[in-house]
Amino acid sequence: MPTWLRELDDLLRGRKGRPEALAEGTGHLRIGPHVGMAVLLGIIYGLCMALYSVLNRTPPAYEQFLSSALKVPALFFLTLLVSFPSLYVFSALTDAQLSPLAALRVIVSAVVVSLAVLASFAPITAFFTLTTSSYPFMKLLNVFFFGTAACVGLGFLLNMLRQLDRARTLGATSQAARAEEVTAGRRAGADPPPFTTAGKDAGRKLFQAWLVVYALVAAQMAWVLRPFIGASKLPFEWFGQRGGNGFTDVLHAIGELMGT
Amino acid sequence: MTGFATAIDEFLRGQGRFAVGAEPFGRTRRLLAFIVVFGFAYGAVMASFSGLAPGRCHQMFYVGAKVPLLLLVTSLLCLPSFFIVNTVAGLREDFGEALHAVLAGQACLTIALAALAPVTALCYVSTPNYSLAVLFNAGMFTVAAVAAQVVMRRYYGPLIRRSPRHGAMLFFWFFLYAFVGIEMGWVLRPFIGDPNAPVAFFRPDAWGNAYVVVAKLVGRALQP
Repeated sequence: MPTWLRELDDLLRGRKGRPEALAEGTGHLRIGPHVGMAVLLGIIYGLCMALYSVLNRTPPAYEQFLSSALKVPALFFLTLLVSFPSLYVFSALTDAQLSPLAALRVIVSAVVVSLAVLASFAPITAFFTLTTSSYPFMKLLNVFFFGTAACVGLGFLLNMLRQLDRARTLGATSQAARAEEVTAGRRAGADPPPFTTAGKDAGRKLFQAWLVVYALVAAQMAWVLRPFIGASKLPFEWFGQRGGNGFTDVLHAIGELMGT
Repeated sequence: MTGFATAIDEFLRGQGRFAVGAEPFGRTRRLLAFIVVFGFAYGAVMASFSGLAPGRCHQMFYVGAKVPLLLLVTSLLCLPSFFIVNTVAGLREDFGEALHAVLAGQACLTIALAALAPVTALCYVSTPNYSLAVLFNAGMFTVAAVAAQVVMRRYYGPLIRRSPRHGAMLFFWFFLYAFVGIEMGWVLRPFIGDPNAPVAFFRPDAWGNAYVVVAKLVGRALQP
């Protein structure tokens, strides 16, 4: 098994999120390889999404392959880019004690899990693309698959936070992990958990609140980056016009699907 | 042949090599064989509504091939998601058993369908009504699906007792399988064969979407 695939397998199996592994810090959740995997998985799904535009447009819009393959991973990482600073600020304000780097590693891991789930839906998306000419249906199907993938990623993220708590109770944090996890200014020699006892609840609540922000930003980012599928009646375009929002568009798609 | 019959008996009773917890060696191959053989058998009978008419016999072969195709291709499409979601749920170690359980459910479905085939044949003898034949087959599939639950529960029961998360995974499988299976069934029409339509493996308008049709029907029904 190639190394990157083994890394992905370990991540999906939850081996990297075990308290014993997290007791040593989050250094094993390497950002570089995880970003590479996320991009690859996003490209796989993006290609399947773009198939609709290629099959249903005359002449076929092959550019949509490139556009969607770039946009799916971009959606996840741009969302992270936009919402991460707020996480850092709120985190520092509530003294949540999860260092920005550790938080970033955990979130990127969750992004990889989301994209792995999304890529696993790719055969089903391709099958429906081959059999469906209805654009609203494809739009709603993809909204559903993205939503499901995001929910699984969210579950993974919350589980990771729980495991970080357990890692703290194990009390086996090494000196090296201390230097990484503890924010500057904490008194030397103190127990350096990912969340302090005082900051644990605040940290968890903060993360939950931030996830709402992340979801809203993701929805709007998807709207800004559209089209991902490419309506058959419209010419190819890299980005849609400004205005509107994704929520009303989904409602509109339901109405259109029902022919109202 | 006797070996095949013995294997079916063992499978239905959950004994011998198909007992819960028995060595899985060779079981998957047999389950696939059940799906192909009995799926083909029921498919052929299902298509006999119009397939026994002169010049229409190949309809029975077409549908015989389509029933196992419907089940196996649907499973194949759902498998990557089922695998990844099971892995993320921390159930990878049990995935072999889970896969065996869902395959066993499908094998049981086809065996039950094949057992109900004489009843379907009797229905066809009794009525020339095409709509009634369609409804009757829907009924037979429902009965067979209920029978398949017995086998699914037999193999999934120990998994759920080991971890309640398996219950959620089973629900996920049912949902995804039904969602894809309905569309696959729609694409692979006709299964019974309208006596007034020419024999065809796929309908000329087969590449449609069942859900779009239903949504439009609902939309029309809701319009004042």
